[in-house]
Amino acid sequence: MATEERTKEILEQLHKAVVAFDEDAAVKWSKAALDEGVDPFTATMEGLTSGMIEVGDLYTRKEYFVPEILMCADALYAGLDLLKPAIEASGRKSKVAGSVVIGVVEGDIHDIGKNLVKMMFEVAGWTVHDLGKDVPLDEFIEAQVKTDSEIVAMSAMMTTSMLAMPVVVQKMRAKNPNVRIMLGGAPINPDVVEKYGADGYAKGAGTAVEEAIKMLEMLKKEELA
Amino acid sequence: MPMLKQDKMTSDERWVALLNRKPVDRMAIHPMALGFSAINSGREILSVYADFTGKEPQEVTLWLNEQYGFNQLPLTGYGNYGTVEFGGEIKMPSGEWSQSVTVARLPVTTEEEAWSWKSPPDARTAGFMVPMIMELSKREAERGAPFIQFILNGPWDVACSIAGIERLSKWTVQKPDVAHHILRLATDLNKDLVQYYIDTFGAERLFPFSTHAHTSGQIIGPKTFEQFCFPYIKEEHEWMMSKGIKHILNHCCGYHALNYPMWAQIPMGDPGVISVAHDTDEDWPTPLESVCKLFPNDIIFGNVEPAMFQIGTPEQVYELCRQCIEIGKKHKPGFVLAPGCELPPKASPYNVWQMTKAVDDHGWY
Repeated sequence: MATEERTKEILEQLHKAVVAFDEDAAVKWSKAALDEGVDPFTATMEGLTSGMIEVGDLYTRKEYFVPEILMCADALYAGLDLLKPAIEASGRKSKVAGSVVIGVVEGDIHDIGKNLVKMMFEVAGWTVHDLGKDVPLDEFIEAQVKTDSEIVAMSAMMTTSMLAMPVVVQKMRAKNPNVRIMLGGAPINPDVVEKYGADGYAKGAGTAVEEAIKMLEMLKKEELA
Repeated sequence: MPMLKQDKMTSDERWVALLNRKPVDRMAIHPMALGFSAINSGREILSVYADFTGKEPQEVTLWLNEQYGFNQLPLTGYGNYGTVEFGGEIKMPSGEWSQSVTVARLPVTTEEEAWSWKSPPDARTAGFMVPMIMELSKREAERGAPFIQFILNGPWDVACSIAGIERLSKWTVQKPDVAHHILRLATDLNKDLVQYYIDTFGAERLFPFSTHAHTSGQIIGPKTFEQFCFPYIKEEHEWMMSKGIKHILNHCCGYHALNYPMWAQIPMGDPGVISVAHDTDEDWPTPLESVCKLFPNDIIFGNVEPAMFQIGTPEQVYELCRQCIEIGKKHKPGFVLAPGCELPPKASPYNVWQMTKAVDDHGWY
């Protein structure tokens, strides 16, 4: 069983492995966590996820860019591949923050931003249903109904494909008015979100989860009222 | 054909004056309109990407110029040049929400596939973009156009079309030799394309429209640009200048605040033309003014936010145009009012007209 000091060391090394996009180190220290009896959930949240949060900050500060984030994600997932089965085997259920359906709207294939947002949701403990890119509009509605997700997040980089967003918003409201809808992508801004009748705006991967949490809190308040 | 009442120059004459550092009657306007040109003429967006006679993109552009007083040299092509040429697949725009040609399958997905290419394919015959743009260019030559403009995606963008932006950008860190190999292939393919144009039209009349979307700071950082983009763009530009090409238009799409100082070291002609996108943040609050300072000898081009033509009010668009004109008018080598990137195909025509109106109100010299 790891001592408190050793546990701290392992968590720090997991954090560093993600920030340094070192897959080998992430695997090494995930194994160490398991071998030495560190709680796998703690190792995930306070090691790997904590590292990814710092990566998000580095991206916001323009110290890390897309290549670095992709590699950090690879390190994160390399560690998760070992720790997740252990979490499941322990029977411990992580507190899921929420459930989100995410995708790039029909006609558009630019998915880097969407993939970064998806990853930030996952590290924050959300259940993510990724529909991919060039997603036919009705699939957003069908996926929300099937998964009962609180949030539908759509992305578009092209001005032509962004025109599909209000169509989805309308269809979603007609089907289930309680769902919160978040929009993101290069041509999107808060004015567009308001014009399209959506609820939230993801300026970037760093702020998407925060925005989603705010939307969830509003939803819960409405349910209680 | 002159369009505005005070016009003393045709569109072609205005470009000749600009690129020869002679006075112009009024500010030129370049709408960066491809899909919009098609829709404006009652056609599908597909028509400007898939007419292999070159007739459609030429016709709809000249009509657009006539209608709005614009100064766009007819142009077509694909942002993902390199995909088909190296054996991948692309998808043409179709359906209500598609805007342009997209990648359906990348040709290079492993190191082995990258190394299997010892040299690029023949630009004259590989894929179908070059035969198409060549037909358009020949029509332009027959029209007597003073400059033959053709699309020339930058080496990094071509490399992304070959291996994918995510894979290529990771390789710059994990396998830099593979990344450099693909960039070498991309640069040499571009040189081959330019040589084809030189052999067909002569160098003097050529005016490449070089696009750089994936070099945006929203994707890669300045270190990656410095090591993997700048050397190849510089090499390509120096080579083009040595072959007698006099002017290059570089369309820097997205956020380039950290890269523009490096761009300023790349020869683009006498003058060159550098396009500025609208992307801004607290570190880069005035892109147009900043770029005007960095490029004191080149023509500046930009930078109205494209989405505003679709979602903004006419008053908002007019004001954005007016602000650009006010800054650009002071730039001695010249200024072309333009959107920061492609005009939305479904932009409101009245919003598009605001460019003309703003130049008519404020853009006379």
